[in-house]
Amino acid sequence: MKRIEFLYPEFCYLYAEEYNMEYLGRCSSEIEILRTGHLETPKFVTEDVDMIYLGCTTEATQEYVIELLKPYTDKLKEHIEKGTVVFLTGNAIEIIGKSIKDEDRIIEALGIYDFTSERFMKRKRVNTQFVGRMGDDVIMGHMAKYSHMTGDITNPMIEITNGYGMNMESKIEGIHDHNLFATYSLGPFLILNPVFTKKILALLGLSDELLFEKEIMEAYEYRKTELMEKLK
Amino acid sequence: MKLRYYIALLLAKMSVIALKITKHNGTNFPGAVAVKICPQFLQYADKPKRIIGVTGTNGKTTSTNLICDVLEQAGLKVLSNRAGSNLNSGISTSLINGMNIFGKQKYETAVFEMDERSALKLYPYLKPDYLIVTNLARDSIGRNAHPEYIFNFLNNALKIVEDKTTLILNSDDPVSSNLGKGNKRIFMGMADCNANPFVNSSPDVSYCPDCGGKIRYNYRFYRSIGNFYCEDCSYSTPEAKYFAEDVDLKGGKFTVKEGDSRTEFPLLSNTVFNALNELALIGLLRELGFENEKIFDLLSNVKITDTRRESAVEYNGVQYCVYAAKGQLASSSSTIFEFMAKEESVKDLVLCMDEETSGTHPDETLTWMYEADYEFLNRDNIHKIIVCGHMCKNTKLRLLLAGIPEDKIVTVFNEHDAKYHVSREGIEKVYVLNEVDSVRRGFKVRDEIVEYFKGLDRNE
Ligand SMILES: [Zn+2]
Repeated sequence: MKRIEFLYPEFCYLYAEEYNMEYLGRCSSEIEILRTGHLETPKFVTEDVDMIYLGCTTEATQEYVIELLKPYTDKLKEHIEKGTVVFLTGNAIEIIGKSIKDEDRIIEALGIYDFTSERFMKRKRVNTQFVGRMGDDVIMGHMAKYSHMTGDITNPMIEITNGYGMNMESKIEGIHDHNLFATYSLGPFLILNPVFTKKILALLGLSDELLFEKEIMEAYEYRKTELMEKLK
Repeated sequence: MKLRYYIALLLAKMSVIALKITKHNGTNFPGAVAVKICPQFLQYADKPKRIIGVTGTNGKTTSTNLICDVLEQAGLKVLSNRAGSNLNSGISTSLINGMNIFGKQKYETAVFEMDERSALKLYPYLKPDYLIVTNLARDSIGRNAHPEYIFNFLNNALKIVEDKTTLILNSDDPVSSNLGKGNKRIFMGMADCNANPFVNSSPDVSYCPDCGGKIRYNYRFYRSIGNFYCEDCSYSTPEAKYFAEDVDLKGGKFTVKEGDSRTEFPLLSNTVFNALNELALIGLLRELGFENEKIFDLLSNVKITDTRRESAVEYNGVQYCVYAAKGQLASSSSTIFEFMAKEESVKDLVLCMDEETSGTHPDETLTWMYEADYEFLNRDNIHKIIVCGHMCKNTKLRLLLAGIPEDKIVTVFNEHDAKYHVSREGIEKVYVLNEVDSVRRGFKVRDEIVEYFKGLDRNE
């Protein structure tokens, strides 16, 4: 069995992100999804897990999640370095940076990577979609947020071809380090990007056959062509 | 500064006349002009003595219409923005319409539907006497982020009018019932009415704002609305001043308890959603000083106008209906899917719920689709689902993941091709579910289906 730890599903389920785990779990009978609540110690601290997933949450809860995870920062680093698959979506990516600025408040984050984020809660919410490349694969994404990332990121997850990256000036998006994949994109990313889901399954050492593979690939190909045509 | 205001008013008034001559009524143009010239227009404008605001994620328009109808029935002259927008420009337009050329307000009472996101631009200047909050649920992702965000937003705006605005709140909404702790608050509550709502996979609220504990329910009305309590602390449905009991949705009546008195009222609609809207109205009327007997009479003479109600035509024994759905909005879509499942007739569904304007519309993502409960459509009485539009491949995948058999699903990129796939036998109804912003589209698709079948019959 491959054990995937879904951290704080009671908070980090916004924008249908929990469907990432639902879909992945249904792709293989060899996958077990372990849901860890906020009152429990994460399983990755004391047990072996094959993958860790953390999704998007509200700004206030994001700060709480940072407090919850802070004592286990080194353990998380250890997992990243030994190649455990770690997948972060939406504002969960900000948690592994150095800090999050919110007006005159600085929220210290886990500091695993060398970037910072800043919230602009009074500005208009940024709603964008993007298309980019991850190696040979075309990846799509969707962002809806008040915050931006800045920093010298040497190992982005996605090179943007259409749309914006981690901030409105950037053409790179996310972080890819060992088997950590962190993207600002939120929602059911694994359904939007079946080519990426195949990669995850392969990394877990499983068959990369997807549930409703024909239909999901058709939906992907169509939307990809459409967005590449229409997105500047 | 005041000079700017008078120039704004004059030009806006002139634009009203111009619009009337050119028969362009009901636009927000005069208000938009006024706000453009004088950004503080709302602050300076002469306002009715009594202002009632209505806000919330769902039910604002229905409630606003209902309140206006009842107050007019009671003989009041009511100013409202029911024909225009619920933003600054729409409300300014209403105020302009209510003023004479010298800027004197002719109305004593106003009922304004207010957009949640405009709270900070509206509350400080309008200082509503009463604000009804219908509920706070998940809205479209691009608009209102998550309920917690919009809660904080409203709560901050309410602090500015703490000593002025009385809130009329739905005590069974775990989000909005927590609003405005510094304001005077009137809670409306309701007893269980066996609504038996389906369970939503993506609830609007799942944890307690005070302690993070799990929110549980003694009974539920729809989605996250119901008699709630936190598993770990005392956070729960607040005690209601006006509490509806013996709610008989089919029989069309309910009883409202207030202190020791109990009064029966007619229900204006058979849905629990509208029963809650009506209850808020009753609370408002009581707070305004109306006697229960008078309220009974008033309610006996009004109807709920639900703009999104189905509209049906019959042909060869099959009903062809159009039903507006808010696409890109999970809560609204789930409610409609639940209705389609519970409405017992065997039916084909034609889904036209994508954004027709642009494939890159920022809300056109998979997010709402996977928050919406397509699972509800996995029922025997849903005979076939014809999915139209540029997102049809993704919707098909969603339906398959919801467990709906593949042979029930048809996809067409062009909605005008839907007619070739609608069943002619074995069904009682066809529902075209269209995006609410393009009502004509739904009617067009429905009429095309009927015309196509008529044509086939003529040629037989
Ligand atoms: Zn609690």
